[in-house]
Parts: sequence; C-alpha cells; structure tokens
Amino acid sequence: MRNRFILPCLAVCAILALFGCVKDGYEGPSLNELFGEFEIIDSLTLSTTSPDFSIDETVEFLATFNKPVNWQLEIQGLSSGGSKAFSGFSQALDNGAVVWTGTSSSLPFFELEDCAVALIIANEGVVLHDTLTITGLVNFGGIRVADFDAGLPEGALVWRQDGGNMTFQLADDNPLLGAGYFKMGGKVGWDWSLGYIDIPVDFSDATVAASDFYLNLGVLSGTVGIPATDQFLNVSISESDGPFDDNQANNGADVFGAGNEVYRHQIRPIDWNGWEFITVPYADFEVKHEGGDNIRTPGDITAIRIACQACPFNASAACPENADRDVQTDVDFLIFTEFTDLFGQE
Amino acid sequence: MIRPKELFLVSFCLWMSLCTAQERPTVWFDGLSRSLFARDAMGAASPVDSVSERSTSVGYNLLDLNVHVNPTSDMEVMAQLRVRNELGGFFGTGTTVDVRQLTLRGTIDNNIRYQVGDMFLRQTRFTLFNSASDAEALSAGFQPYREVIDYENFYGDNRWRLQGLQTDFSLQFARFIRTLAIDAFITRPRGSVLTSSGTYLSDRLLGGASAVADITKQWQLGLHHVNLFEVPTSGTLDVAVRNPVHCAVLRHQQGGERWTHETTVHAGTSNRTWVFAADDQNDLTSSGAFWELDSRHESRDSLWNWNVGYRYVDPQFRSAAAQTRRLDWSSAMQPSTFATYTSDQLARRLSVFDLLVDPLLYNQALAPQLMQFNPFLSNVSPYGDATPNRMGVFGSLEWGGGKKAVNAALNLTALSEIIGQGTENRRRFGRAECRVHWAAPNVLNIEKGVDVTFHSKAELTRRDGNEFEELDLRSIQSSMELKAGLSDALTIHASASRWTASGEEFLSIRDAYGNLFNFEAAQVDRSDWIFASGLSYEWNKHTYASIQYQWWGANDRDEAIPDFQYERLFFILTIDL
Repeated sequence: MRNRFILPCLAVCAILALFGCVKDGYEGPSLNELFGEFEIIDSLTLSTTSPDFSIDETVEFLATFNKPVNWQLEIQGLSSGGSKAFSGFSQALDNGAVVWTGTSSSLPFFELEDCAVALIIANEGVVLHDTLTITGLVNFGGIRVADFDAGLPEGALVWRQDGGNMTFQLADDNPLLGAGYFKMGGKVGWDWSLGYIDIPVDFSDATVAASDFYLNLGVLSGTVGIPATDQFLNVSISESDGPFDDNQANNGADVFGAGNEVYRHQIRPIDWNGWEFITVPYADFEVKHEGGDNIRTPGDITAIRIACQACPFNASAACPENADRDVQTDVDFLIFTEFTDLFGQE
Repeated sequence: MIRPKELFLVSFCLWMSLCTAQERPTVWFDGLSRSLFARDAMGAASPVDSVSERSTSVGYNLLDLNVHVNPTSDMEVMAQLRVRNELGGFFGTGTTVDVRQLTLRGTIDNNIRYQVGDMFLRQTRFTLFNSASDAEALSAGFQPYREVIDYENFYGDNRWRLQGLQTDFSLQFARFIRTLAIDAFITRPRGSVLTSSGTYLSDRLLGGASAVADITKQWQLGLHHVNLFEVPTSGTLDVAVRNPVHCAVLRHQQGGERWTHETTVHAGTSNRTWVFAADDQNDLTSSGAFWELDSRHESRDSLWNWNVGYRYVDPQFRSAAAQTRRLDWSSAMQPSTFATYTSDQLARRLSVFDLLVDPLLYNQALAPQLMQFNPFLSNVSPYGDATPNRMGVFGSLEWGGGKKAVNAALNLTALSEIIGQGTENRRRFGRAECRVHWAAPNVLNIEKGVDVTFHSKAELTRRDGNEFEELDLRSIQSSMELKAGLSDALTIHASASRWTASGEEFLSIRDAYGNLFNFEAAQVDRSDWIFASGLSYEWNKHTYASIQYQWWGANDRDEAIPDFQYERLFFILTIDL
C-alpha cells in the first residue's frame, strides 16, 4: 500500500519539478551596474538657457549615465531665492522626463533673474552645474481669482469693524507676486471678526472633483510686530445660486448666510513671519451651512469670502496680550488649481 | 455628560438584564480583564541624554466583556464590549468604550453553519494564513507580552481577523467519496478610504472557498481558492488589484503498528493583476506557481515525530492573504518608549524588546504587495512558507511528546533562490531552530520542580560573486528561561534573550505595483539583549499575575549608532472571565 502511494507521489513530484527548475537571468536591476563604477555618458544639457515662461516656453534637462542612480535636480533663483526641485531614480534624464515650466517648489516665486542649476547624484558624490536666465515669468495654470495687482476683483465687497489700526486696503509695499496685495488686519477687542472680503466668481467651467480642486492663497503675517494670539483666516466658499448682494442692509454678500450651501476652512493659527503659501483641496472644507445639494461641486462655486479673525482681548480672557498687538493676515494671489496644488505644477 | 457610547452600553446591559430576568437561559457572558503597568527608565549604561525624560510610565485597565445571546438554540449573537481606562484617567478622561467584536453565528437545519460579522479565517499556508512574526525565538519568558500582542491583534491560530460572511457544511456519501466539506466566505479587509490627497481608495474584498473530500480513510483531497480584489467603482483611483490563488492539497495517511505516516502534496498557482482604467495603460500581471511535498511520521507512543519535505515557490507567486506580514518594516514603525535618545535626539532603532512588547507595531491589514522585511531578523522565509523565490528542503525532528521530562525539537531548512536578484548568482539560505524544554522535578530541593526552556534560531544567507554581489549574513536568536515553582501557583522565573546579526544584505526596493527596481545595501553588526526576572502567580493558564524587572538594550559596532540600555518594571494581571 505504501509503495502504491509513493510511486504516484514521486511521479507527481517529477512532473512538478519540471516546472520547478532554476531560472536564468535575474530580477531587478543589475547589482554590478548599480554599485559599479559610475560614468557620465552625456553631461547635463538644457534645451534653452534663456526661457521665456510667459509664452509657455519650457526647459528640458538632459543627461545620461551608465547606470540607474538616485538624482536630484535643483534650480535656484540667484536674486529671489526661489527654488524648484526634481528628483528620480533612472539611468537618464531624457524623453521629457524633467521639464520645467517656470514654477516653484515653494516660496518665494522666481523673478526675472539668473538661476543656478545643479544635478546632484549624492550616492556617487557628483554634482553637475549649469546656469540659465529667466526672461519671462510663468503664467500659473488655474483659475486666478485675485492677484490685487490692478485693484480689487470685479464686484468684490469689503467690510470691516471700526477698530484700531484697521487696514483692509490694497498695498504695494510687499506683494507676494506682481504689484499689489490686500492688507487685512487691525485691532478689535470686542469681537472675533475683524472684517472680510467677498468675491463673486464663476467656476462653471470647472469639472473636476472636489478632491482635485485646490485653493491656493498667499498669507502675510508678522511684519508689523509679534503676530496676534490666535489670529486666523476663515475662508468660506458658497455654492448658492442666489443673488450675490441683493440685500444692502447686511454686511457683505448675501450668499454666505444661513440657508445657503456654504463650506469653510480655517487657516489657523497664522503665527508666522513673512509670506506663507497655503494650499488646501476643496474636499477638506467642512460644512458651514447646509443648502442646495450639499455636495462640494467646484463648478457650482459662486462666491468666496476671506474673513480675518482673531482672539478678542476684551471679550476673551485667553488673550490679554492682543491689546498690544495688531492682527495681520494680509493676502495675495488667490488661485484655484486642478489636480494638483500650485507647487505641484511642473 | 453621558456620551453616546456609554448610553449604548447602559442600554445594552439593561436589555441583557431584562432578558435574563425572564429566566430564559439565552444570555451568558465571558471575556477577559487585564491590568498592565510598565515603568521604563534609562539604564546606567545609556548614553548621555539631557533632553529626554529619565523615566516614564504607562498602563491601563481594561475589561473585554463578551455578551452572548442565543435567541434560538441554533443562533448566537456575540458582542465584545471593551472598557479601557488609561493610567491616570478619571471620570471619563482617558476612558474609552468600544465595540471590539460583533458576530452573529448559527446553523440552518443543523447542517449549514454560518457567521456574519467579525471572524477569524485560515486556509492553507499558501492561500490564507497568518504566519508568525520575526522574533518568536526570543520570546521565552515573555509569554504575557506574547499573549497581549496576539490578543490585541487577533492573532489566534495563524488566522486573520476579517469582517464578512462565512458558511460551511459537510456532506456524506455512500459511494465514491466518504465526505465532502464545503467552506466559503466573502469579507472586506478594507472599506473605501479617503486619503490625505483627497482620493478615495477602493473597497478591498477577499473571497474564497474550500472543498475538502475524504475519498477513503487514507486519502483526502482539498481544493482551495481565495481572491483578493478591489472594486474600482467604490473609489476614485484608476487602478484596482486582483489576486486569485488556487491550491490543491492531496493527503495520504497510513497507520502501522509502530508509526503513523502522513504525506501531503500542496500545489497551486497565483495571478496578480493591476487593472488600469486608462485604455493606454497595460495591465501589470505576475503569475506564479508553487508546490510542496511534506512527509510526516509519528511514533505510536508519540515519543518521536519527524518530517522531511521539499518546497518550490515561484518568484512571481503572489498570495496577499498568505504573504502579508505581521510586521511591515516599510511602514514608519517607531518605538513607543524612548523613541529618541542621546542629547542629539537620535531616532532610536527598534530593538527586539520593542518587537516583543509593543502590540501597536503589528499589522492587521492584508496587503496586495510584498511588505518590506528586516533581513537581519528573518531572511530565510520572511513571508512564511509562501515566501516567493525559494526552493529547497526542510525537515524537523521532535522527541518527548509531552510525556518525558525533556522535550526537544529541531527544525532544519536549506533553501535557495530560484532566480537571482540583481545578479545571476543566487542566494543560499540555511536555518536551524532548536527548542528544548526540561521539566525537572526535585532539583535543588525545590519541591515543585524547575522548568528550563531553551529556544534558539540561527539563519545564514550567502551568495557568491564579485565584490558587489557577494554577501554573507548571519543571525542568531536565543533565549532561555528558568522557572522554579515555589508553590502550586507561585513561580519565580528568570530569562535571558539575545539576538545578534552581522553581515550585509541588499534590501529590495519595489514600486507601488511590487516591481523590483532598486536595491539598498545594508550592513549590520549588532546585538540586542534582554534579561528579566520576576514572580508569577497562576490561578489557571489564562488567569495570572506577573511582576517582572527587565533590563534590555542594544550594542552596535557602528560607532555612529550609540548603544542604549533601559530598564522596565512590568506588572500584569490577566483574568479570564
């Protein structure tokens, strides 16, 4: 009986062994290539060294090595300090793998300036250098709502409390980008709200989902002294299809009131010095007022409110120090982008 | 203020009381209660650290109350309610109330069993199996910790905890085959999840079925199938995975006068496909096969037990439910105590002590990709017996069978790669594991006897080749425990565990679809150690109290990685209700 079992079993195993042989070749990249001697086949070259990004010119970076490596390409604005970085693991930078359209990876933005280019292969201790000159600034892709370069956006409403040192006006002394920005600040001891700007918009061409629709906004703080305790921006987005401002008796636009479909996001706290750039997907906005279909739909957005708020030093015992501090939550360059935030754009 | 959870709990208990008040024997309770306290402190040999706290303490009390309701004689509803109070939590602060398990089970016509809700599933080692973690050989003397980790992560009997629907039944036949057992399930390891990037991950489902037939008294044939798949419409990603695995098991059992023999053949295939919604992107498919022959032999008196076998697992064999690891080293695993050390606040690497004591390091989610593993702890079979790209022989020999004062077991494995990684030269693996238990009565005039347990596992990985390809990695895990009974229930115990690893390896870097695209060279020359001693009082196997003092640390030959040493006072009281 035992032999009757063993023999068929061995036959099965023999058949299976046919499928169980050692295989030729190897998985993954060659170790000899990965850890062998590094050579530069084609050094770093740029498709152009004087790009005019304003007419959609781009810069393509090219290089070829003898093996795949971890590389990092850094572009540094020599005047602005702006920077852009690409990184990857490959044997070559080719076929449009690294194309720069003039955007930044972080603040500040690039100016018309000379830039240093460095291709860093850290594991091999190799850095390749080049330079370029920006002759035209990029037009960022997206829906630009307000850049404050030529005044307030059309139809915008501004409301503010009668506090001390209230700003809520255009300024040109320290813009994030372009020629102007909008100052929002002052001192109000009796209320959290200092004021706001309401902007009517038409996003009916936007078809992406809320998770792919990003609000991008520059916020300036700390240049007039220590930032006020718990100062923040309350950004509201209305999808109400009602009239923007029929009722002249209330403060600001009508479409942010109860009964309208409104979502909000707080940029809180604003405790930094200088400009910071905030990006947040529309999907992360919370419900402020229910109304309409209660579904965050970028194409249905009709108005945006940017409200300046801070802890009131008279009405709250939590922030007596705010009596000696001016709130500052200035804003610039409000733009909505699709699929990625502003710094994610190539 | 009464929170909704508490209100729910009170309502539930009230309803239970009403049920019992009507003298219907339909409600019964069991569960577990545990109190745990641990105070950690820097050891005298720790490097200078003027930033971290010198000591810290954590602890909690918890009650897991299992409420069983039998509405009818063939149906049961079980809810496990957990009340947990962190050390220092008062009046609701730090106190949580959770429903930890909820299951409905029963039978239809006394023939078909079913369960809905939380369940614990296992099939074969190649289709659905929860393999042991990396540091098992170090756990002698750490049974309380081991039980906490297994209990908190639902690691019982190599099963995965899943939620869904399961049914099984068996049929008896007069001709051709004797019995046929059918088991089928559909579960949802992961629901649709909103990620931080604003996208929704799809529902991930795991379905499977088994048919096991006793053809004769000697012959048994089993067919198993599982499929991990995602439902693209439930998310916003443009890719979904499908991973069906098929397995056939042929088993022959034969009994003789002195020995019983059991020979088993496993064979099967897998297919893992990433299906892309975009027409211009081709699906990524990897297909593989496996087979294993295992011949086991046990003496009639159970004194001897040995087996020998051969296993082949194709490099492209992918079985998510069998290859998912308990420890995912690609995730950001951090020590829960003293996560940073030295005045420079260096990130402290995980030590084996962390692996033995911290239940939060462990994974409960099935993953379609191969998880990263730590080759210095487990390099021979990091994904259990279903580890891809392995072929070779294995065997074991056990003596004692629980009847002798000395029980010993030896496991040997010799495997090699089927295809090289990064080179045509293939790795060769060896593993030897030894366990010895000596229950010595009347040693040193200790009336209740002395138990000595020794457990050791050694792994060796080698590959020939040039300076870039050659590698030699050795690791040894050893632990020994000494227990002396002071009375029937009270024991004093001491244990020592040590793990050493030296050599070099290449860590495989894979993309999101499991494609190997890079290697990271890694070197180690390090040893971790743990000493512990304490007292235990045991009312029964699952109800005990233990207090221990533990000294643990790590030494690294790399001077850039400072050594560390810590101490812990540990108390646990576990009551099986």
